[in-house]
Amino acid sequence: MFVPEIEVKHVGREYSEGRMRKKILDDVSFSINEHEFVCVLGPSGCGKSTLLRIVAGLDTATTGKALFRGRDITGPNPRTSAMIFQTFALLPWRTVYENIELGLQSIGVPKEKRKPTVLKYIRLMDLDDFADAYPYELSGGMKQRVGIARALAVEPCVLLMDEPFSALDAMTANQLRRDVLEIWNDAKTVTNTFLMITHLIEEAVMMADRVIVLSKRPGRVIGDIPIDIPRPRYDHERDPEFYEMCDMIRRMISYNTGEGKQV
Amino acid sequence: MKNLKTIIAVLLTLLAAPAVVFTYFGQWDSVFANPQVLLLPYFVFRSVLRMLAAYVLVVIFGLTFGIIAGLYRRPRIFLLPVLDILQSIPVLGYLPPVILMFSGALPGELGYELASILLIFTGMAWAVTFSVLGAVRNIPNDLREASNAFGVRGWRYVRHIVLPAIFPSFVTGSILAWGGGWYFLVAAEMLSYGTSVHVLPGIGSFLGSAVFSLGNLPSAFLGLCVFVFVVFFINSFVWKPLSEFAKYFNTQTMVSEGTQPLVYSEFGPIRHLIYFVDKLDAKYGDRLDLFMVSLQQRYGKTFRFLEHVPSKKRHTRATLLTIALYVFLFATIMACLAFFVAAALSVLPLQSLAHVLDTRPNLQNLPLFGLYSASRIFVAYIIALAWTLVAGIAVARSKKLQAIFMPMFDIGQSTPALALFPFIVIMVISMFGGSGMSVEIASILLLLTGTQWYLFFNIVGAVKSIPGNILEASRAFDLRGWQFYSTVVFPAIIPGLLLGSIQAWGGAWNALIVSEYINYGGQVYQVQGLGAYLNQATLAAVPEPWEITLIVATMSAIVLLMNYLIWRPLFNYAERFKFENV
Repeated sequence: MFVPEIEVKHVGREYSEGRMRKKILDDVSFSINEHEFVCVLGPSGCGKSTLLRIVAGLDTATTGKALFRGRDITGPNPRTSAMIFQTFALLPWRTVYENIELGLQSIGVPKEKRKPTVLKYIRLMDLDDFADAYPYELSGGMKQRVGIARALAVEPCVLLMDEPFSALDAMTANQLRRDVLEIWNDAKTVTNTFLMITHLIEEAVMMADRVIVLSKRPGRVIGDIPIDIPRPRYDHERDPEFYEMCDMIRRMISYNTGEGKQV
Repeated sequence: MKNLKTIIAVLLTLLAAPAVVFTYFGQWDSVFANPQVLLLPYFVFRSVLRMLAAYVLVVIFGLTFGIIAGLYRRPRIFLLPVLDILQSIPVLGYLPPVILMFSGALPGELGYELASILLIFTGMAWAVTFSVLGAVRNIPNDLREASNAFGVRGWRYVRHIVLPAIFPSFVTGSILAWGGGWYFLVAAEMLSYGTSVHVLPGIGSFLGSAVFSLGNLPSAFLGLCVFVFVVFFINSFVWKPLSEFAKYFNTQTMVSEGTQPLVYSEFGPIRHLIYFVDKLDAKYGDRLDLFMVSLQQRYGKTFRFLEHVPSKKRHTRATLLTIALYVFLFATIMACLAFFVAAALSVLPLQSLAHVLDTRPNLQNLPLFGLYSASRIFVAYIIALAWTLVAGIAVARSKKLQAIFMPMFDIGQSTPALALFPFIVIMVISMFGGSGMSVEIASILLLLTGTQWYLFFNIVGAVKSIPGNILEASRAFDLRGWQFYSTVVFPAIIPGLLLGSIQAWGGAWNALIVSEYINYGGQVYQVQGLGAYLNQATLAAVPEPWEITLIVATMSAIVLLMNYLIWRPLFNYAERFKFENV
């Protein structure tokens, strides 16, 4: 029987704030297969970060569940999935090398065996000259490279990304998007299933195989759209097909949010 | 208001505790044998008034010099060392000059009252001044440039940019200052110099005399509970809400998502003070601005030296000059101190220093005594560090523990250690007898009371301010147990720990004088060290001003050297690895 890498089954999430119950996610279901790049797209506050955290095992669903290869996700497990953070979340007192080493240490890889892995991902992310630098010496783009290398170094099955480019300037973000796509395409890297959260339609369409569109809060799946525009899509600025896809998604979202009904 | 129930429960417990204890042990008679018991409310009133008066002076002093030294480089060159040296002098080192200046100068009680207020001032002033100075220098550059671009300069810059921007640090400094003031209240209300003691009515002197003069422990216990009640009351209804309010002035967190909307009712009764200041500002703010700006235009040229010059890189020569300036100012201030002490003891003119060194052979032991005292503080510091690290991290990480223990630690911090002294002395002496070892233990325990809370609350604060994304990342990478503490928590709290250590060592040197020489029940318990030596020197049949000054100078020099050679370099190094810089 075919088992997808990640399955999200009827996931709902509620928070209680004082006496009020706040519903964040409502009956969200989708699945991700191996070697797929999936983006979850939605307006801010729709619960997409919560969804990612449930998949990462950092949060638990109130109803429904998330599965990895058919088994329940009960807590964080770096061998299953590693996360890249919007605000990098690097440890300020550790060098680039030591930050990348962090995940390997936590899963108990002995020191001698850590070194080749860390160096491999330092090279992959072009961080060779900065191995001994501290985060405060790096630009935002370089910090996120360290964040990506740190996540890849544990060689997880699934890479989770929480708006990984939104704290970067436009040019740096573009370069990093290409780098991430290259890593995804690269047969040599162990990690090849990617799940990314974003609020930028163009970013989702440029990167993903499938875009899962969430409604405004409480988040429900209002679209699961395969993007079959041929890759690489680096020239998307000139591609009418690309813009048609974006417009379609944009209409879907504005219809849902009730904004711009004239479209 | 948050935690209102807990606060009221604690306050009621503090009032009920003595009643329960006295009824249980049948001590009511001996409590009322102390005739002053009925005057307690009046004593509280006088003490709070005294603290308030000192604090008003501190606010004026701290804002004036903190802002001037923070904004302008040239005055700072001179002000910074002077403030630094004055800060390093133990509070009780100020006793002689303060008494001399005021006790004789004014008629009756008024002179002593002023002397007492001034002594409290010396225990309060430095925390506020240095907080203000640091905050002024930390005003973000973009804010500075934006105000400059909009022509907000001079007085307007101070009122509309500087004052709001430094408010959080000002409140933090004020909390430390009040803590310092309470700590020395007993000493400040029982002004003793040489062999004479002048007692001012107050809760501190009530406590002191209940123990030392009357030996009436039940009434002392009552006094202690009332003391803690007052401190806890003021902390809960003034300082905690004000520091919550101050968070809205934080220039760093403007973009953070977690900022809650401002709800004034959460600040409790103190919100009326905030409203009042707002109203004053709305009514007279513009007029004040116009007046100050016109003053500035008329007399501005006189203050030309107050130009904001961006600080240059430090060169070796500049460092040497700074050291020379420090040495010169240190010598001058100490010479002034010697003169004041001599005048206070009416043994002017001063004898030559060489002669004094010959006649007081103990002075040659100063370095040795300094070493003894420093080791004693070191032991107290290690003990404090051990328990505060464990307790601080545990309390900060667990909401449950927080709910149970935080009120207890708040009370612990509110208990002015000097007021606890008699109880510690009685406990240790009854347990270990009056031998040398037990005095040593008592002395270290007393030092502990002056150090531990600085460490504890800085550690709790540091653990709580570890950013959420870092905690989440360590969970995502499944860091657990020891690995989580060694890779995330310990490194993260180092800046806070160092700040707490600086404060703790400062507090310890201050507590030294009362910790090494304990006069209880007509008997003197002492250990060898600078604090005990200072007490001996002041109580000697023929006190020698130079001797007293040299002891104070040694203490102050050790404090300064430790700050410059150990704490500041460590702190500056740790600063680079703070979360804000990443």
